[in-house]
Amino acid sequence: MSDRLLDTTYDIATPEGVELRLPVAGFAPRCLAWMIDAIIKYTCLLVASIVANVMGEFGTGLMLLAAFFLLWLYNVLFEVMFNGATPGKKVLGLRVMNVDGTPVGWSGSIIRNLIRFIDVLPGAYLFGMLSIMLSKRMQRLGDLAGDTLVIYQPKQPARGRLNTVSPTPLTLPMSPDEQKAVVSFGERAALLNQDRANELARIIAPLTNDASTDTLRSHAAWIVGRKDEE
Amino acid sequence: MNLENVTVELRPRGEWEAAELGGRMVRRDAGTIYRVWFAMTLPAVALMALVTWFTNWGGLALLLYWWLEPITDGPILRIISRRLFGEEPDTRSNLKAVFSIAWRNKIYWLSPHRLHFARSTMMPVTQLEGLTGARRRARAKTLGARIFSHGVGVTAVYQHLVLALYVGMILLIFMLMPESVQQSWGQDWFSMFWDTRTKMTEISDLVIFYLAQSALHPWFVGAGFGLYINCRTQLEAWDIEVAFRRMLQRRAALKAAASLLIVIFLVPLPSFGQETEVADEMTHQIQGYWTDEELKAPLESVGKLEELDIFEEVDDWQRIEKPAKRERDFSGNAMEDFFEGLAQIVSVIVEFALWITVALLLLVIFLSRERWMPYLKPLDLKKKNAPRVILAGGEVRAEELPDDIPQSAMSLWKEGRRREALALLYRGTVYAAVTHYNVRLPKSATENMCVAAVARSTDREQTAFFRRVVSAWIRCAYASELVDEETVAGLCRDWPSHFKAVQQ
Repeated sequence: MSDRLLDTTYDIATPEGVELRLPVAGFAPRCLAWMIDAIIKYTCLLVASIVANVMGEFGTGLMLLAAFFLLWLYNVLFEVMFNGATPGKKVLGLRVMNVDGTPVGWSGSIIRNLIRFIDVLPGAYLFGMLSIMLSKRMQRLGDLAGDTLVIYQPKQPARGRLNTVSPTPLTLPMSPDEQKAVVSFGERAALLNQDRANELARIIAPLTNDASTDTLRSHAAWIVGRKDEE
Repeated sequence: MNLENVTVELRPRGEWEAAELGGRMVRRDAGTIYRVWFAMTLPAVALMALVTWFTNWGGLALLLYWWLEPITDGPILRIISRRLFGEEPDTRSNLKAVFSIAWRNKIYWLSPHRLHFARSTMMPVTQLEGLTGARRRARAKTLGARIFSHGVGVTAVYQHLVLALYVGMILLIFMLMPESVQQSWGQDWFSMFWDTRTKMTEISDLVIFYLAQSALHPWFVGAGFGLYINCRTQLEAWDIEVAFRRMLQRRAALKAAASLLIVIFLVPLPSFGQETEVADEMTHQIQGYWTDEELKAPLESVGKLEELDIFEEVDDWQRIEKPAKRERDFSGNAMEDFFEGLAQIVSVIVEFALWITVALLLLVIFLSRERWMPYLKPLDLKKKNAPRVILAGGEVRAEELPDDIPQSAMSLWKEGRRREALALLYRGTVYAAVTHYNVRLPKSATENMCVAAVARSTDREQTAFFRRVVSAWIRCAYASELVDEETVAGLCRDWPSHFKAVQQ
């Protein structure tokens, strides 16, 4: 059996000693994000062509400019100026980052979008797809050249389900991971099947001396530091 | 099923991340999975190739093969699901199980449900939980409410990527082909009506499709499984259970260690017996808690739980009131006129802007002429190529030497500035030697080094003259001993004859 549990994250230790866990994204959501962006781009081009059509020669120039900007600048501008996400990536909850965990900059973004034209080869993104399948951090060739990767934008976990119980102090010391598990139980207990919630609470009943779900939730409320209003 | 041995990091994830995790599970055991996959599919593909070669039913065989694809899902699922709970993948046992697994509960998937949009996501329900009929439907509803749409996404990505890989490989082969073959091959390959293709082309087409499918099908199964596992992790809080059990285990180990210490140090504590009892109870809890019956109970209740039933059936159309749009009446002509007018105005503005830009550019160029004019002057080649003469006392520059060196030296001498006269004579002679005879001087050359350099590149007569100049200078410079006027006049008189010839 492998020592480490399988996960989709790529871990970085920063110089400050903080460990960052970046959930790396593979080709499925990226394909869909690409598709959304493609739809947006071609819609813009279509609109531009309609406008250009009634404007004669000046319109042709306008059309060429629009095509140029959409082709070369769309991705770069969005990635650098909007938190590493084009609209398509935003919808899918993705984000481009540098490999060292910093926000992507001009050079990284420009390189990864220039090399896109190699990823597309020989048609239908064959090279890019193979590169994502085979590379460790799921990078296409452009990502490898620009030292970037695509991650899932971390979501805020659901909070605020602990309002209904009054906090009770814990009777025994717990490690941070253990406290996290208790809080997670407190927050999610309401979403679980009641039987299942009771069953989970029973597991650590020998520690809390109480098998009820509500007691465990009140401990969770105490851990997150909620004050008793009364 | 034992959650303690789980080999992936369990936590509630986003759906795409969960699908990704499934893909990683496939990649982790790619060796076993592909051995089983090829064992299952290669015979079928070989058979198809034969059918294609000998009959005209190749297309039908391919359709049949494609329809039977769900059969291969089961054995792949078996490998990754067992690995999930800590069982090492073993190719042999998996190959043995292929026949019993492959057909399990497959009637559903081989019916028109073959076209199910989220097959790989729902496959674990029939394959691993073994549910059929109404129970399968209830379960599919519970899970589907959460992950059906992403399951459809996985299927869509899979189908399109198979197509993309297939097209990509064909284009790659086309690109790498010698030009002479390219045209005939291309014509054969892309011929509109496939009955004109050769058998060889048809079979290579089949092989390329098969390779594309092989690359992605295990990923498809894995991604669906990932979605399924994530859904159950959320519904049943698997991650919390694992964390709680670890917590209990840690305490039990601590308590056991503590009671051992107490025994060693023979400290009589009243709670001693009680402690071991608690520890015993805990180990009992850890080992024997999770029986099969208990496992199934919450599973089923998840399926039938009413609170989780978020479905509402609506069987009539409801009108959604939209805010009324403002009426805008433009006749076609007015629109056209408007746009044409706009275009003209904009183009006039842009044209003026362009002309103004051009004028500004010209102005900038004119104003900065002092900066760029020097670059346009014809290059003074002579000056550029003039060698640098650097003596021990400093550089000798052409500018500081007079045009007629002997004459100015003589006049300096007559004015009584004798030392200066000799210095000028020396420096001028060295400079002339360098420019006229291509004497190469080392940097910061001393007098003797100059003599040696001159001796190397000129004849004896020149060298002798050079020596006379140098010795006159040395005696003045280092011994403060002036030569007589006759010697200096002789040097100045002879000077032109030594350098003039070459000068012209």
